[in-house]
Amino acid sequence: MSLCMTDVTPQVAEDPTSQTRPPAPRVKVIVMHTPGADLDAALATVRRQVYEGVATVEVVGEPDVEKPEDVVLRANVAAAIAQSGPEIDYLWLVHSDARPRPDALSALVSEVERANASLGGSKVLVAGTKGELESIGSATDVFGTPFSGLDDGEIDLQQYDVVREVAFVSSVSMLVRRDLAQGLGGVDTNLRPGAAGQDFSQRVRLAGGRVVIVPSSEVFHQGRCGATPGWRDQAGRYRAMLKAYRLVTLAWVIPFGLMVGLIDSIANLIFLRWRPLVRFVAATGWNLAYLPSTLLARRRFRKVRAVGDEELFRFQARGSIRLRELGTDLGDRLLFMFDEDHALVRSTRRIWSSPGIWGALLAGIIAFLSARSFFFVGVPNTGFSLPFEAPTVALSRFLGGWNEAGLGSAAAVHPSVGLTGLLSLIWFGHEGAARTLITLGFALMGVVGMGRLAGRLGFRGPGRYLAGLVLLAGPGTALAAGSGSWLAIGGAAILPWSIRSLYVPGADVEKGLLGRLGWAVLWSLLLAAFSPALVVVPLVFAGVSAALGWKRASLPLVAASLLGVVAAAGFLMDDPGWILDDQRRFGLGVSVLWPVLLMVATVPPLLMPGKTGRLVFMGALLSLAGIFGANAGLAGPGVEEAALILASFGAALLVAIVLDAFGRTPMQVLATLSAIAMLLLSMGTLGDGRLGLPAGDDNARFAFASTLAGEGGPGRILLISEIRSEIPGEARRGPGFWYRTLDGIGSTLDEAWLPPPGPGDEKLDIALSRIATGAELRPGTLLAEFSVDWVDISGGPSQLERTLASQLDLTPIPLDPGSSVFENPAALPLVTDGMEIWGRDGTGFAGDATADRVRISMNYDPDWHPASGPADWATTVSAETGWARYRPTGLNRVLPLVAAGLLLASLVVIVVGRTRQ
Amino acid sequence: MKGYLAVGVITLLTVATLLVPVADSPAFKPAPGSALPAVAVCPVEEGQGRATAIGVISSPNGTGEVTIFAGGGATGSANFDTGEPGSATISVVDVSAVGVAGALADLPDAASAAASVISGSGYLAAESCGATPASQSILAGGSTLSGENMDIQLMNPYAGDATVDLTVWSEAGLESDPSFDSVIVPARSSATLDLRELLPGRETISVVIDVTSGSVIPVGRFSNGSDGAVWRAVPPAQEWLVLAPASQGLSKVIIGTAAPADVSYQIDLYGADGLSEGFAEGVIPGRGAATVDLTSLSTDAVALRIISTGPVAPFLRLEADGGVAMTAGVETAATSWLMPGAGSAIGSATRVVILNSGLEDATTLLTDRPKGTLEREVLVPASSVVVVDLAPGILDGLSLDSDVPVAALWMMQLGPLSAIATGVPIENG
Repeated sequence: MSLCMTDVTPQVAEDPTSQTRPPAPRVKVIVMHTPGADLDAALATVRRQVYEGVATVEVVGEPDVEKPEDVVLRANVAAAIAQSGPEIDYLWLVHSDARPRPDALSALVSEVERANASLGGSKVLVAGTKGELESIGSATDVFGTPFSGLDDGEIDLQQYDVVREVAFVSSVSMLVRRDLAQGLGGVDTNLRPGAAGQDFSQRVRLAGGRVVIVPSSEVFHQGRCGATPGWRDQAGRYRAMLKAYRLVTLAWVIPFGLMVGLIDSIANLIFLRWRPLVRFVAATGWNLAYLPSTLLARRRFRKVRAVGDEELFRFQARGSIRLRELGTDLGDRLLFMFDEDHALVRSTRRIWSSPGIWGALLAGIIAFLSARSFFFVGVPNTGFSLPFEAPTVALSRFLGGWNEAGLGSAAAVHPSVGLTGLLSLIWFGHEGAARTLITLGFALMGVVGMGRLAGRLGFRGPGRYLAGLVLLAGPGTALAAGSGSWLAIGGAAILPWSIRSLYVPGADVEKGLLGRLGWAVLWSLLLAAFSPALVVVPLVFAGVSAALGWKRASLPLVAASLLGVVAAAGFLMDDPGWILDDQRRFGLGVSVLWPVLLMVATVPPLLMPGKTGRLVFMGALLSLAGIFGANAGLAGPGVEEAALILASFGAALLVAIVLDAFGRTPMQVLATLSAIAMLLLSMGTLGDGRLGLPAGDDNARFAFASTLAGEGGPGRILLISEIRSEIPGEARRGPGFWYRTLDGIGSTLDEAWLPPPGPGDEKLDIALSRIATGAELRPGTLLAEFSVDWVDISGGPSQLERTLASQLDLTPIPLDPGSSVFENPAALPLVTDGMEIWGRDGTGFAGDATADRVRISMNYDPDWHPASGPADWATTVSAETGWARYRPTGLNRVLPLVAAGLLLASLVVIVVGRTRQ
Repeated sequence: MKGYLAVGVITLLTVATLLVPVADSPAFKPAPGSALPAVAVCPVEEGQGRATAIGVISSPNGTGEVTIFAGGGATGSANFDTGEPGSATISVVDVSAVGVAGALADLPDAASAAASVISGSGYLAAESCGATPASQSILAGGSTLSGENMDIQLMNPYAGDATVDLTVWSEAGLESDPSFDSVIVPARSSATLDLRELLPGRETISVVIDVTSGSVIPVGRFSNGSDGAVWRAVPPAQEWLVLAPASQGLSKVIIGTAAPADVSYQIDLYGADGLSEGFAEGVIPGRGAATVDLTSLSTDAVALRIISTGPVAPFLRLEADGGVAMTAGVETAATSWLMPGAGSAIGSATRVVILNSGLEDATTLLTDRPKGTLEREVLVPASSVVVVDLAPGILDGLSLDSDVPVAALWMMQLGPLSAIATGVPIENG
């Protein structure tokens, strides 16, 4: 054991009173070997310690090199502790990947002695850095989660250099009284070093000892023992907790701990991090498996416990550190949406110098106020803004279920039905709350998306977020939203994200392609779900951008962005009129003021040098093209909706750039004023607090159908008006009026668009033509086969209303002074065999099984089961099974599955991409 | 240079956007032309010695149904078949004995017509049934002098309740009574206003009926103790034809108006001497009525053409030997007329008055239903009135076809009792 004595120069030797000084405490060095660590080097650093009291050096573990002869090898730490004789005062436990400074041990001993502590730990620095701190002693929360208080990469500037009590010290280098270590039974060999140190520290404290950090003892740590905490560390902390706390503490710590673990796991899943959940499950399972051993260790420790849990609480942080970190993470992510350059995250002192913060803050507040009514009365149920169906029904309808709009059709429903169903399902099945949140999300996404897109295109000014308001309520979206198109707001909010996903920041061209592909596909799927015709806009943007010599989008990403069309392929193929039929469009026209403002804002930047002009040109080009497309009215409502959104998007892009390039020349001032005018015009339409959506609740308006329904259920409502906007969703062109049928139980989003008319729809049209002439004295009888239980005529006095004043079998119901409501007592139930009435069951129907056939008042389709057959235009199925289901075939079955698979694949790719990064 | 090019492109696009007009909003399909339902609403009365027969004449053969409605529902119904001759008579007593009520006749097709003939001891009345409810109509000609009763029956066979406002005028001026305001006529019911009780002692009564919601078919009922009359309210118009058969007693035309201001009128007379323009003229007080006495002309059948400056409706009232008959004028001439109920009273003599107000002579064919044995060709010279007397017999009615538009009226005489009704013009007949 002359090993250390020969090489070290005792620090105390310089003491002029060395003749009378007491002998240095005897220290046994226990080097805990870590596979991969250089043991020889570790031993060398131990030998260089300037401390005269080193008695022996022992190595714990299985070294991969031949140990020196003067070093004793022990199987584990417990054995090394147990084999320490009374001549030993202290044990210095040090990792083999630690490189203590020569005075580390002497500092530890002197400070532990001076502080009358039982356990002291060194200041641990990251090896190979310029003094990056790894540990200066840690606190924990009540659940054992460690908290160092250090920032990532924090440099040691001696800012923590004071001897103080801590909850626990790093096991990389710690000095412990030999008698206490042996009394506590040594460290827990079932635990990993980190957790073992924490466990040991806690027990030391509860045994009446003091645990101190000794900053003057510096150790460089190579981190080969595993810097990344794994599930075993978490399991070890749980075990330490179970061993240390009294029962009364455990009674509340355990359930709260489980709850915290669950919340942490689920929240991390949202952030696409799966490991916390796995760790939580594995750590819990491990502790269950080791519960007998834990209980035994707990019983042993009871004999040496000297103080209560309060002694531990003194050094614990309040609340849950994991939840706090989760909150911080969430906050960072939210802030990052507005603050791409991390000014907020880096330093609050620099918040207000971040260029986008002011604009983001203002835009966020305005967007929030623009959606204020949703907090009080929810999202309006009028126009094309209709409530979601129950999530499972909506999903099954999207995945090839029956389209019930009109008199029913096998045509695919609008893809938004599937997405909203999925989001409702994620939101615990509460479709109403999900709808409100999604709509609020639109406001936030629109503002943030526009800011982030402009940021990616190289603009950092405050106007880029404010431009998001133009996107949400600019020349086109304001019109679309005003006509009740909830989906248009969604499409507008997603568009900038989809375009942004095509552009890779210059520094990251080579990185993360996989994840970016996933994002490009995901955004395009979302875009297609809300506004299918918009899917081509990112491609157009990339094309125009490249043609103008601006930024080039990544070709693989552009290609990936077209995959989103799969989500809407079925809908578009089954109902091409949605794209092509100009008689189905909204018929909205953008005010002439907008093109003028656009031109005034565009010309000055175009005449100035620099690349800004190109993007301004592109914004104006897109906006004017959108306005032209919408005003020309040459295509169907899908194209019209996309053109209106494009008009707003282009204007928003223009506003973002012009406000960013604010200058003092007259031309620049003119452009800026024009941009501000566009911004103010947009904000004006947001003043109603409904994001521009019209007010009203059509389901409340038509609630009479359910309230007054008889045994056959509310059936259908036939809505008739000379004013198209009086009818929720799409309306068919009738003889002298608009009309459509709606579900009497309340209309939902899947009914917004009417599929191409089937034979039943055509027959209904003929019936209405006859009724409209006034020649039909019994219109109720004529409408009975369509299960029209109610006729609602709104929009003021009309010829039809006068005609129906002189008929015999529609009973006027004086419900609403604004409309004429008639009940049709002759209406057939929606599904009946003549005796029994069947009810809804998902997207199908169910009822009592009989030997007859049931008639379903839906257009005939052979894919109804069981044993479908036609009854004139309607469908009949066998009633023997007691159920009737529609089972799609062909593309109607395949395409939704492909879209769902693509969505899942994009998410997986994103997760994998993030993991790789 | 590129900047100027871009400015040019943007300017062009802006100008194009401004110049291209906003496309028209999609519109619904044009409203179809209106068509009349094949239905007629008839006044009926059963009990107290009176019975009603509903005569139906159809151009093609077909089936129909008569439903008696009262008290919010149907009290009885009967199917009928017009058969090969295209006519039928339904005795209401065989359907439902309900007192004063209404009947809804589902006719075989739109080229059909029905009429009520109410007869009894000292009572004979007839009127063709209304097919189309109007939002405003006029009923004039009645009176409530001593011994006279006048009721207004508002028939609502439809599914919804109706609300009606009445404006009543008499020689005393505009009459005021809360009973005239917001009269509610429940669905499938009738509401009857007894004017003798409300306005006793009035010689000339004119009523404007405004329907504020729903629909009603109004008729007037009159009795003087020895006879009675039933006549329809008609929507006002500015040009009318009134046919008046020869009468041994009083004959007068009462012209009511719905206009709130005075209305001037001019009457041209078609008589034995041909057309006499400007036979009479005068002013009708706002919402009031004017009476034109034809007694001096009643030795021959005459016809009047009434042209007014505002909406009016004329009614003919005949009184002779205790008998009384009333009917409304007709708006237009037609080439085909149906006269259901004509000749249906046992032992009655039937007279048909035909007016040719055109400039060409008309050759008409009068046919009896159901026998079809009385096909009589009648020449009606231009601008003249011809009377055709038919021998007593039991008929369902008559039809008249002409090569030029004419107007037709029929009258039944049973002793001192008389009934009169205008025919029903059939379009494209």
